[in-house]
Amino acid sequence: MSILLDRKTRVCLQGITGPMGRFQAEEMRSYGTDLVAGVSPGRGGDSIAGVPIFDTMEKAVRATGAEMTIMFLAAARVKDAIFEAISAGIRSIVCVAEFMPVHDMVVIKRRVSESKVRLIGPNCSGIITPGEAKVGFYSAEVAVPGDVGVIAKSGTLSYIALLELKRRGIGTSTVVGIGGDEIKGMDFADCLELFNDDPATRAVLMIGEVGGRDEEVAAEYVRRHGKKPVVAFIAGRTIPPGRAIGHAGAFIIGSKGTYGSKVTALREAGVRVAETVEHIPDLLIS
Amino acid sequence: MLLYEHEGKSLLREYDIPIPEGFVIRADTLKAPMPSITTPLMVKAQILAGGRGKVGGILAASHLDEARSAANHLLESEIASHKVKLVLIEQQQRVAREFYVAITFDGSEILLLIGSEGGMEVETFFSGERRAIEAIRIDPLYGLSEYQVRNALERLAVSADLWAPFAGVSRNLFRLFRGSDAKLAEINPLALTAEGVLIALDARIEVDEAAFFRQPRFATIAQHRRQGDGIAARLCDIGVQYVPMGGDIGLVSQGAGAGVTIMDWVVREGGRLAAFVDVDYAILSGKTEEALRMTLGYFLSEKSIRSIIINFTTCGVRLDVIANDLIKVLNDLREQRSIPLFIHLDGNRVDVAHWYMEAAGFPLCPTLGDAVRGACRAIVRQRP
Repeated sequence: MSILLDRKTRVCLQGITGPMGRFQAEEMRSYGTDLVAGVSPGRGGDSIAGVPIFDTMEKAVRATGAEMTIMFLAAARVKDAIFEAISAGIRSIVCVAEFMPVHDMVVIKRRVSESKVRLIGPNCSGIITPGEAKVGFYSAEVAVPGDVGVIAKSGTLSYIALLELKRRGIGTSTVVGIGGDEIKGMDFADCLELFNDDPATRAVLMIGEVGGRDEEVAAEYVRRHGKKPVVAFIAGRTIPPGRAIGHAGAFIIGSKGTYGSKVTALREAGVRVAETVEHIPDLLIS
Repeated sequence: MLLYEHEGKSLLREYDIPIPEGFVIRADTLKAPMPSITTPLMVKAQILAGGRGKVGGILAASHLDEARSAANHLLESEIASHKVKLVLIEQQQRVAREFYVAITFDGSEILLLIGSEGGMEVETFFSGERRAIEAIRIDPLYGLSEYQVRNALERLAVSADLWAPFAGVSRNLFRLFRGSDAKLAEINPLALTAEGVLIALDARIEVDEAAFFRQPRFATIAQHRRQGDGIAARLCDIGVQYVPMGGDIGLVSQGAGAGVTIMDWVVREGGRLAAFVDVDYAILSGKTEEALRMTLGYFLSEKSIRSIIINFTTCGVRLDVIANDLIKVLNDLREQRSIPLFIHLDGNRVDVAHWYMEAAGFPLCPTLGDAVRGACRAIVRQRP
């Protein structure tokens, strides 16, 4: 078992004819992902990496039964692509695009909330269920099969943490990159809920960062509903409040969103917080 | 990107929100003839810092000559550690009462904030001091209705004759907020003049850099501002984020989360970064070699930087391709200065990347922790 993604999940790729889309299609295909369709307006009928290309999402979903889509498109085209995917009846959307305009995200969030679709991202690294399938950037080198569920805001930081786990012989059930943007689809709490009910997941690792309120909300979820051990790591301890560094600079509102407030909320909920990424495996083993 | 007051006020005027008549001058236009506007005047330093009035950044003048000498004074000063390059001169208003009005995001919600007095800051609202301020949630699709503004004003005990004009200003401000891809549109204060008119005495507007692809005028302003800003601007032009940190360890890394984690870790090991450099976007736009050359060249030219951490923990792009660019740049820079390098590479195609690096004679740190500790120890060893 796993969450969100396994080897049977039928996946579609929007923007498959761009250089990034083409490269990622090959990567996902060779990993074992059931990539059933690519979409690129005007390129219907072609194929890339053995994947048939369709002109529209509607045709792709109808012909292949795709359930999940990932898009490799510039931020300017993402809102349209998400709306197209939702109207075609897709079940989940993985959005890796960086630099999404806030005004677009507000409207996307509203559209998603009116549908039953799950949005993962934007500005995220995707999902990998090691040994089965990957949708997004996570590669075989960093994630090995195991029983720890991982939820991460930052992609590059999650690669570092996964390598620390791998070095100590710890594998993962599913890794979900939720992205570090303030306005996003699934958050820590949504993923914790899925991991709670996943028999293949023994413990959960949350990789957060200063800014926003997701970690505090997650702490509250763990306190009320948590069934499994949760370990957390929070990046950005030394960023001065109010200063923006990458997406870690999300608005720090009042006393919420600081390193201290997140660690306190998590510890009070029984979450063990690692001081450095090297300490994460110790907390997951003991 | 935060707009200067005069830029924000031009936007307000475009969206039919009244502002005082005025003009801007620089040091080189100080001597030129000034437009004649009704006196008395306000002379305001254009800097991106709040609370200018409290630190001498806003002066009153009774006539144009006095305004000219006040402007001259401001242009020669530093206000709140900002060098003043531009001054706004505008008509002084006879203020009967001040309000606060702003539109901003709170997570995925849009909020209109109305305060029954001016002078407060949006931050104080979010920190919990909600006195005399009403927050209205605006639906992104339905927009702002006038009744929402009336309800807020009624709760704030503002007299009914102001409800319609206030609703007008609020609706225009929301049009501006949407039309400009703003993250914050704040009028503080919004003044009610003795003549009974609502007029914006200040403007604090922050626009979303991510929307510059459809906001060419702000993109142009941003490009203009970057010019002549040294290394940060040149790096920014090729998609590299450079944040000076004041220490002695240079960091080149991919991804904000990785970079921030290394920064925290360096501090924990007793070190301090000279600069935080994230080359993520440069890599995605195919400018890896250029970004590495510019960053590492700059680090080597800065004598204060005495060790360098290079970290690529990557999945979405191929590490062997990055390693090739890194080898090329390191070989070219070899002559410049000898400095301890701590390189950690892991992720997609790591085996090939390691093989390239070792063949080229660049030793690698087995883990990121080794790189961080190595760089911090190298600094200690160099201390006299």
